Amino acid sequence: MKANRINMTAVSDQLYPPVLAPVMQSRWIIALLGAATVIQVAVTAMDLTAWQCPLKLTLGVACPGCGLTRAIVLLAQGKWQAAVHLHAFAPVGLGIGLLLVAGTLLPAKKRHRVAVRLTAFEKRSGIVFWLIIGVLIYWIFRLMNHN
Amino acid sequence: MTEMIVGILFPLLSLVGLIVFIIVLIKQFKHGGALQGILGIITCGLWTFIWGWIKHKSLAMTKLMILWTIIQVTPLILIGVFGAAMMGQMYKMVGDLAGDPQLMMKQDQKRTVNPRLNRNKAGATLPKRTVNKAPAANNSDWNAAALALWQNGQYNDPAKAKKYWDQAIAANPRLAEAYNNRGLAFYNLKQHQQAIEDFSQAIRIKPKYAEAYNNRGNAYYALDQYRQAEADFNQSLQFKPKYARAHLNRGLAFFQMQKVTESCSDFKRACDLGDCDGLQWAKQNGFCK
Repeated sequence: MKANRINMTAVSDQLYPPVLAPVMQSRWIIALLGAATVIQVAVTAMDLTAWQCPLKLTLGVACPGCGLTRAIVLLAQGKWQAAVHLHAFAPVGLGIGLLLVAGTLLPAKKRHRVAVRLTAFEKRSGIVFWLIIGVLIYWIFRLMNHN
Repeated sequence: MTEMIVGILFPLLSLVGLIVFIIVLIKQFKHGGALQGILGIITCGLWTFIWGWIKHKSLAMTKLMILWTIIQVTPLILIGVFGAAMMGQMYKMVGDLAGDPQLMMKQDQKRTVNPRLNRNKAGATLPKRTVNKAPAANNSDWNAAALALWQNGQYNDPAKAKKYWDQAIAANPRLAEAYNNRGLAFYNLKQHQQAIEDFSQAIRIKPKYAEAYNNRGNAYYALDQYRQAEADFNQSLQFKPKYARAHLNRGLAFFQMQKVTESCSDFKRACDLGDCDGLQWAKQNGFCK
C-alpha cells in the first residue's frame, strides 16, 4: 500500500508540476509578473498599444490568450457578460493577476506559507494543467467558431 | 518615404520577433517543461519574455533577449511617432506601395473611417438610450464587447463584431450608433452593400449623423461609386463642417473623378483641421503644391 502511494505521488508530480507555487517563492519574480500584469491591463484599459502577440501580429492567427487582457479590463469594469464573451477565462486571468499582486505585497513568511500550501494544492489538483487544457480546448472552439 | 521605411521595418521587426519568440519558446519547453512552454503561448509570449529574462544568464541568451526587447519596444515608439492608425495598416501598405497609386489611395481611404468618433459616440449615447428601452446591462455589454474588438482603425474580428452588434440591435432596434458600427463591421468584411444598408438605417434614425454619412461615402467609394460618395461626404460636411476625415475622403473621391483642384483644396482643408495624410500623399505623388 505504501509503495503504491509513493508511486502515485511520483506520477502526480510528473503530471502536475507546480507552476504558480515556485513563482510565489521569489519576491522579485512575482513582483515582475505582477507589475507586467498591472501595466498590461492598465495600458489596455487606456486604449493604448500594450504587449503585442507575436503570432497574431505576424501570422494573423489569434493565440489561446488573445483577447484575455481586454476581457479582464471589461471584467474589472463590471461588464462581466461582455468579458466572458470576449474570453471565457477572463475571471481566471483576473484571479491570477490579483494573486500575483497580493503575493508581491505579502511579507516573506506569509508568502512562503502560501507557496507551500499552493504547491500541495497544485500537485493534488493539477489545477494549472487542467486550466491549460481548458484554455486550449476553448481556443480550438474559438478558431472553429470564427471560421 | 517615411511610410515606406516604416512599412517595411514594421513587418520585418514582427517577423524577427516571431522567430526570436519561437527560439526562446523552444528553450522554455526544454528547460522549463511543457506546462511553462504552453503558458508562454497562452500569454501571447509575455510569460516567455519574462521567463527568458529570468533565465538569460544561465541559458546564455542575453543578446537574444536584448534583441527581442528592442523588437518589442520599437513598434511602440513608432506608434507614438507615426500614430496607431498608420501602424495598423502597415502590413497591407507594404504590398500597396509597390503597386500603383490608386491602390494606395484605396488604402488611405480605409484609414479614414473614423473609429474614435464612432466609438465615443456609441459609448456616450448608449447608456442613456438603454435605460428605458432595453435591459441596460445586457445591451451595453454587447456594445462594450463589440467596441473592444475595434483596434487600429478596424475590427480585428469583424464577423464577431457583427454578431455582437446584431445582439445590440436586437436589444434596441432604434440605436443609430449600433447600425453605424455594424456597418463598419460589414465594411471590414468587404460586404459593402450591406454596410451601405446599415449606414442608411443609421441615417434614417438620426438624420444629422455626420459620421454615418462619411462612412456610407466610404462604402460607395469602395464600390467605385464616386458620385454617390461625394454626395455623402457633402452631407457629412453640411452637418459637421470641421470634419477633417470627411474633407480628406471627399478629396479622394474628387481625385478619382479627375478633379485634382477640388481634391487638393479638400486635402489642404483636412490638413488645416489636423489630418494631413491626404496632403502628404498628394505631395509625394507630385500634385497639390
